[in-house]
Amino acid sequence: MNMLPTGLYQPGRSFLHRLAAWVKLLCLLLLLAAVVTTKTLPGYGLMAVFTALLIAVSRLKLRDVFSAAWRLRWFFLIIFLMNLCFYAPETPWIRAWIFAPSYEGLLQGVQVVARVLLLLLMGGLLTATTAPLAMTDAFHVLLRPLGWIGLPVGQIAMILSVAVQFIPTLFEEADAIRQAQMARGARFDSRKLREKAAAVLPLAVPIFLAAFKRADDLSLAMEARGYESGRSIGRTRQSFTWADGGALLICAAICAMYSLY
Amino acid sequence: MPIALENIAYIYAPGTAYAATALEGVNLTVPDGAFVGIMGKTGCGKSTLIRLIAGLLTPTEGRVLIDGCDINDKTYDRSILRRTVGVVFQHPEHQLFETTVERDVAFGLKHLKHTAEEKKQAVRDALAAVGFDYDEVKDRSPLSFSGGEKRRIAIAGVLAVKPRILILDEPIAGLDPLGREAFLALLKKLNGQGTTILMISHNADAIAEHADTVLVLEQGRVLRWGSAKTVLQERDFLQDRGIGIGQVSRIAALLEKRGIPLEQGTVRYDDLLRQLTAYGRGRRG
Repeated sequence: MNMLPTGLYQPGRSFLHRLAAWVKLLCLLLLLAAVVTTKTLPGYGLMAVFTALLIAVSRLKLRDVFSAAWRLRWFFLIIFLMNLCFYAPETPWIRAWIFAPSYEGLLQGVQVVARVLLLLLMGGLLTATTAPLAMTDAFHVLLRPLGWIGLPVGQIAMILSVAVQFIPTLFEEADAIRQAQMARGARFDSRKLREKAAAVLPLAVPIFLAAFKRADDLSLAMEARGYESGRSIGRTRQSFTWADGGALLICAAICAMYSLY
Repeated sequence: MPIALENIAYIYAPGTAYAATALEGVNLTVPDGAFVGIMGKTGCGKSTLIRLIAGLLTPTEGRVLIDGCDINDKTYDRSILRRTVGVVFQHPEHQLFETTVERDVAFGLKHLKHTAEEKKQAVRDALAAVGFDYDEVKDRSPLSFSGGEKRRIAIAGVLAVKPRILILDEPIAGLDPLGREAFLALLKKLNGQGTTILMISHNADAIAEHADTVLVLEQGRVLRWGSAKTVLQERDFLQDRGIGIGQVSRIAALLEKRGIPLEQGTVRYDDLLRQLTAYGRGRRG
């Protein structure tokens, strides 16, 4: 029902939404490479500006974009503090017990946080603007070269796309079963560990049974409709527009610039 | 004590791109001992409505009162609700999970303060109600039965708690004709013993024959709510909206077209038969 995991795909018609999925995936890899190779603070600043630009272009709600980062706020705080206090104990401002905050530590902390935050935001932008199925298509396109060395790319892509397509169905089924068991008096909200453990079985057994049954039915239906494993029937035609080309070019340029300086 | 819905609205995933209004402005009072048939096209909000009554969803607006208590009030004891309201969902056979029939049927009794003997008796009664012999099936795995049998076992699991309100979502879909009749007879019997029954069904015949009150939903709103006769006699109205009418209504419509007068609200087989017999006698005599 309304158990769609938050922070994933948000439907829309923005420039980012319309880019081909494999282009976005490739761009993300290029940008990630750029972020990882950055050594200087202005570098991070520039990347932050670019990310902000992307967020603006995506026309997503800011809440959706930052929700994942917000959930990790304590993680960010802790890695920042650890870097601050332990990174360069030779040149501390002050020394208090094992803590030795230093200027180098401060820089390092900001860098590490900025790096993870940028990775997170960019990855989030990709998943928020790309439908899950388009994403599996993107894998299909990008993995295709591996088919030359004998990797069954078509089958892998099929497995991925089936798995992705059935996530909402399985969620729905799990929810239906959870409600049915609750109506029978199961308690999933108990705080007692023993009851919590006991509450897993009434959910897990029917969900697994249903999943196996569904997989069985699906494989029969696919065979009945002429699917032969080993023969690729994926959507092989992928549109490639000027916008896609432009986006790739820009990201490649950014990546090249960062790796050179 | 009745079920009362006060100005209910329900919105799925509010505030997101996926937001969808499932119910709006629903006001109903279901008296004790009623047999309510709930009809409407797929996606009209039937399933949402029964989940709200069962306390599995919380209304976005409005209150659900059972026995005069707001079931979503923080001070309300949910275990009372679980004892009072039993729900048989679509494909109840999917909820079986225990190793033996006895344990599965007794699952809902776990949290009730029954003695072992009382529990055993409740399981025995529930299995008997759905046509199983306790001693014969109690140690078998519920998963070893056929689809129809599994469904009966799952329903026994709901009946074991002896709920005063029984909600059913498409309980007869996929049953064979004999199983359907047997199951409807069971509902009739429970209803006769005072159980309030709310049944969602696309089977207009089943609703016409057994329900005394009918609720028709359309796009999350109440379209019709009243006695089965009054609601179901609006044949054209229902058909225009894509809601099926029963065989008896269909036959009655054809007979009226042929100029055979029938009483208003002839929706049940017995009614039709009685009038036709009288009509035939009149013609002969």
